[in-house]
Amino acid sequence: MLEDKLLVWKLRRGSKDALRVIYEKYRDDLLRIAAGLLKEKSHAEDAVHDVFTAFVSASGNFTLTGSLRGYLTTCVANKARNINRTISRRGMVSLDEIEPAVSDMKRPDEWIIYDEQFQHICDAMAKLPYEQREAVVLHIQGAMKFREIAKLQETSVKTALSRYRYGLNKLRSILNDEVTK
Amino acid sequence: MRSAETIKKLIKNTKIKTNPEVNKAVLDGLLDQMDRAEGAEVNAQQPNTWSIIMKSKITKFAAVAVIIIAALIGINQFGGSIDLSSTAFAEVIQQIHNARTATFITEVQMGQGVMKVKNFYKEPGLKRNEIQGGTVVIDDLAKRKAIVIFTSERQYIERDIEHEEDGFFEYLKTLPERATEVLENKEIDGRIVQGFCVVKEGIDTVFWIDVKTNDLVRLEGKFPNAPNTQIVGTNFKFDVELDDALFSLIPPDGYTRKELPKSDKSKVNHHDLINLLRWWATNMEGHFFPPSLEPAAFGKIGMEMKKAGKLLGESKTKEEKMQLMTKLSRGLQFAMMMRPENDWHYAGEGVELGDSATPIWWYRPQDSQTYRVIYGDLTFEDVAPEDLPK
Repeated sequence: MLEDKLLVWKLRRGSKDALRVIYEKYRDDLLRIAAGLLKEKSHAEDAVHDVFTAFVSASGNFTLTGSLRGYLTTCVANKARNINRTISRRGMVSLDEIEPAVSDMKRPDEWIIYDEQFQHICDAMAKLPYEQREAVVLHIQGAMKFREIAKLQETSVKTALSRYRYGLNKLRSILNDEVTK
Repeated sequence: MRSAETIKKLIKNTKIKTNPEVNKAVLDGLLDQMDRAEGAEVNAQQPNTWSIIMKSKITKFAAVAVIIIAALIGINQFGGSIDLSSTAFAEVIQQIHNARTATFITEVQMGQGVMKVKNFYKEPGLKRNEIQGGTVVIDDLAKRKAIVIFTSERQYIERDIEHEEDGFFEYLKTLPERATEVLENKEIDGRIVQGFCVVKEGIDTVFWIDVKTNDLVRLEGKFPNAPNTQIVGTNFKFDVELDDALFSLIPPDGYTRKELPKSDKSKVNHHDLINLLRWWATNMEGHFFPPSLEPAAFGKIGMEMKKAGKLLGESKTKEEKMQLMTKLSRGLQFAMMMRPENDWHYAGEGVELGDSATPIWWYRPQDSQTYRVIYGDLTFEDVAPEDLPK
């Protein structure tokens, strides 16, 4: 926490090294969270890229009140929600309906490289309703407390906890079914 | 059958792999962004051009069309004709942003009182303030240590910097390169100057810039939460040679250490305000709350009450007074920290201590959906906006 405060302090004063450290420290975790939240890999990559871009833009007058990890995770979660909302509103044909939920093709410009286990988990996550997926990803991968998840989802702590439990049970059921097949 | 705990561990421990070339490309892009002018707005609604180019399945011609449109949107956002007068302001702001050192004089005007301070800054994180009356404060933010030297008493205090609180120059460094308002020319010390006003975080800052030389002649900062308080900056010099010795935390020879009164090192909060209100209402004749929490008015009224013999309470030793001053100042600091987005209100005038039905203070804490209300008996509760006093 103190390290992050110092990094943010340096970043506010234009330190590129501070930006480099923050980026290296949180990039992979944020990509993992975004990939868990969004079905389409390119959307997940866009979300994290946009969050870092906005963070750099605001870095001149950014004030860290809580944890930097928590702040960036919340930004990614909000971004992912917005992307999902946009997709639902436009009624876009999701690439999921044309291709597998996670593309098998490795293009040279891909940011996240899916290995078998990660792909497996993302496929299972994609089958959960969004709120449940969000609660599971943010609690387990984002280390967010249920109070924070409830605030983000604009619901009660009890509901956030229920979504998490239902989501985890459903994931368990999906992953166990695949094992027994 | 795998348990929920096993699934949880599986999700938590799954590692991710990323493309090192793309990692570097993204980082380079972010570093370039840092190099570009500050104050450039990033519109969250803009299409993510990078993504569209790299990931889109549309044809090459369509991709080019998207790039052209994104660029046009960019031009519309930042463009328009160049305003020569605001170039002067932008130059001054850039000078402040890029300054590795700075010296200037500030006068803090609170009500009838004026306090003059000579200020010295040196990156990274070194500050020296020479306050009228002989007090020198030196901060080293990198070491998170400070020293306060009382030259008239030949004493010093050493302290740790627990919470970083930006000063006026740090605030100036965050200002954007566009002014909110351009003011009419006037004369200051024989120089014709033009005024540029910037409003940020609830503070109005006016820059008076020499129309011929583009030098910053004078700067005025006003605080909406403290209408009788103003800070005036003059004699600005940037990137001058400043000896590191000016910022030394080593006490001067022959000075004795003064013990810092034990203080609460936590961040100020509403409990501090409650302490302040309790002290006032308990110790002032009539047991009413102060008419105002605006610092200059609060101080002025307090002094008037004291002179009129209306300040009750036992006489205290110097050390006790220091402790009390430290404790009460936290409450005033909390009130001064309020910003417009906190939507704060003070309604304590005429309310007697113990009046549990009358709200005297309410505000919206950051990121909160509810308001915190303090009542005349100094209890508090969190209340929905629709339930607030009208």
